[in-house]
Amino acid sequence: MSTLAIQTEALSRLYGRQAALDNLDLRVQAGRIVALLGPNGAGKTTLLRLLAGMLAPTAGGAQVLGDDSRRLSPANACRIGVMIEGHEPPHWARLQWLAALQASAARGFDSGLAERLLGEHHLDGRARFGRLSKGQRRWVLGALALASHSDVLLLDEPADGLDPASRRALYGHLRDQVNDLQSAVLVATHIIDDIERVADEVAVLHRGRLLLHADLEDLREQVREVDVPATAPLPAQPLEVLASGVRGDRRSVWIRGGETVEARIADQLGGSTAVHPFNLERLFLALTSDAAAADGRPASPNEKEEVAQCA
Amino acid sequence: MRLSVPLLLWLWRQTLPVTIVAAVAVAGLALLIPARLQPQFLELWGALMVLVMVVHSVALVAFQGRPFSGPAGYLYSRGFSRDRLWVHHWLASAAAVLAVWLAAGLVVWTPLRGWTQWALGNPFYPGAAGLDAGFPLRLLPFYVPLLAVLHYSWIRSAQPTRGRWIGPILLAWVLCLLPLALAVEAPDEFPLLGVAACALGVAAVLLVVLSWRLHRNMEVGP
Amino acid sequence: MNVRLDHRSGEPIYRQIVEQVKYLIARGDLRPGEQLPSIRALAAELRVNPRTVVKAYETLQHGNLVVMRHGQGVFVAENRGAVPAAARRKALVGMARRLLAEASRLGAGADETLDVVRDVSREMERGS
Repeated sequence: MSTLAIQTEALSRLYGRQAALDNLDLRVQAGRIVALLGPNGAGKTTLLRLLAGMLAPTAGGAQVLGDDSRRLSPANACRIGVMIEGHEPPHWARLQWLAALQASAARGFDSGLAERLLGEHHLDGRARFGRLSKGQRRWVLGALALASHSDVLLLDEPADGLDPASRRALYGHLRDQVNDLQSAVLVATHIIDDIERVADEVAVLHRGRLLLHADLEDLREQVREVDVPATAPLPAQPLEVLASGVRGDRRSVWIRGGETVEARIADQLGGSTAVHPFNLERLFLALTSDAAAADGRPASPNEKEEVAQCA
Repeated sequence: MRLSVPLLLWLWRQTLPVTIVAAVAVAGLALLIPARLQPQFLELWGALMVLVMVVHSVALVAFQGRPFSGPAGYLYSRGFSRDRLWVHHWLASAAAVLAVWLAAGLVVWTPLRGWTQWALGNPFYPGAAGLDAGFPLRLLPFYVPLLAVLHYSWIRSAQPTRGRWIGPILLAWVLCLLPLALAVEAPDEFPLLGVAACALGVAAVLLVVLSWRLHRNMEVGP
Repeated sequence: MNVRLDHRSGEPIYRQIVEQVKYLIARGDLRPGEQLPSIRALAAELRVNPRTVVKAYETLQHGNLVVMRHGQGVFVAENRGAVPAAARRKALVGMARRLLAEASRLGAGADETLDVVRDVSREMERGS
């Protein structure tokens, strides 16, 4: 029986009449890293702030470690590690002091680990937070989150501003912690490369709605992109259409078809159909333009390009 | 609930400059007020003293609790329970008040005031210095209702669906009633007002409890 | 264990592990009876979820390439019974069809493909 560390039910959050989160059903198990993929403004930060108990839902509910996110017991509050955009320490704070603050909040804080992680970037405990570069600040916050040995980690773009080697190191440490402690991690990012490297599951968020939530290995195994004439009918059971887009007289269709997807495609669409391997970035773009078209609003170029190129 | 020294220092540090200013102002006033430091002689000076305390209290709560700024969000996402944070907010305010109280005490309990007044030519000093000793204690009844109201109004204004005007409204209410608190000092002259002052005290306690409840659900951050 | 993963290729990670272990066994880098890294150790080394390693090892076991001994670890299978000739030929025919189809998609002819097969075979022999 796997334990649900995070669970939301029909979660909605409105700002005025704008839905930042719309009817979200999300489950995160212990020992899994779930990547929240979406462009800026998709609602990733809002969701994380809500799960951290800083915001209230407008409708629906969210539970973290079994407690309602608004009524976390003191025992559970200290088991949740949070790193959220826009909530940073004051500039005058010294690093060793931030570590002391964290240690007094989270019982399992490992000062030795924090020191080693800071040392990887040659950061001294006496340095002031405000004097650090953007990447160094992110690293510090990430180090503090990792050293807390939390059972749940809510991370908002933890690698923002880090160079590729540091990104790998950070996510490597994250993976080690999840493997060792069975922590549940929800990490919001728009960097596909990092997701492909570290995530167990991907949840695609677009304008507050969850378009897709699936295991990444399953996606790699069961999802393909096919190229068919625009006039051909859409594939049917047992093939599932995830997204489709027409360009000229050709249609590109994203299909999920179980472990024998390629055989099933050959069966239904013919052996000569062009089948492309799974590509997370392309699937994401297809899903979001579909969703935008369904909204009646085309995806802005920003939304498409904010899914970044890896560095 | 364990005391967290780093948390306390954090909250206190945010208000340190204001507390220093208030302590200096109160100590300065305590040093230099030419009248004797008993209520019936204070009049204008008393009002000035109260003004300093009001400004100090407002600043204390404002600096400590900016729920709309980044660092407050950081603090609320470290894993401290809401109640623990609330208790520490109050402890930090109490520590700030203590600092002011000690500053006044330093001036009044040592010969400082006596000598200064004598040097300024005040005929009652240094003889009356001993009678002034109770002065610092009389500062406290002003701070308690002030802080209670301000903490409450700060927390209330952070609720998602409530307006932000509750703060100024409550503050105005308090300022109107503060003179009543003065009456506690001289109950013989204003007996009814003394009762009203007690009511103020009860209301302050209620507000503290309410603010505790509200703080649990307060939203944090932009 | 010399396993390199390509996270961007779209190929499931577990399958990449399976294929590379198969290759190492075929090359002789992993000998029959040799112990493979534990699930935890390999997961830590490759920085992947242990469940992925479990799936890879289970797939290898299903293909009779490794044996998972409870409490002891994972070992390269010993003494693999020879597959009957008919079944072996059928499997090889299937593989050949897929190889030639892929090669033709890349624009390579049968001759070029066969040359490459021979070169790789020589390289593997040299390795063991």
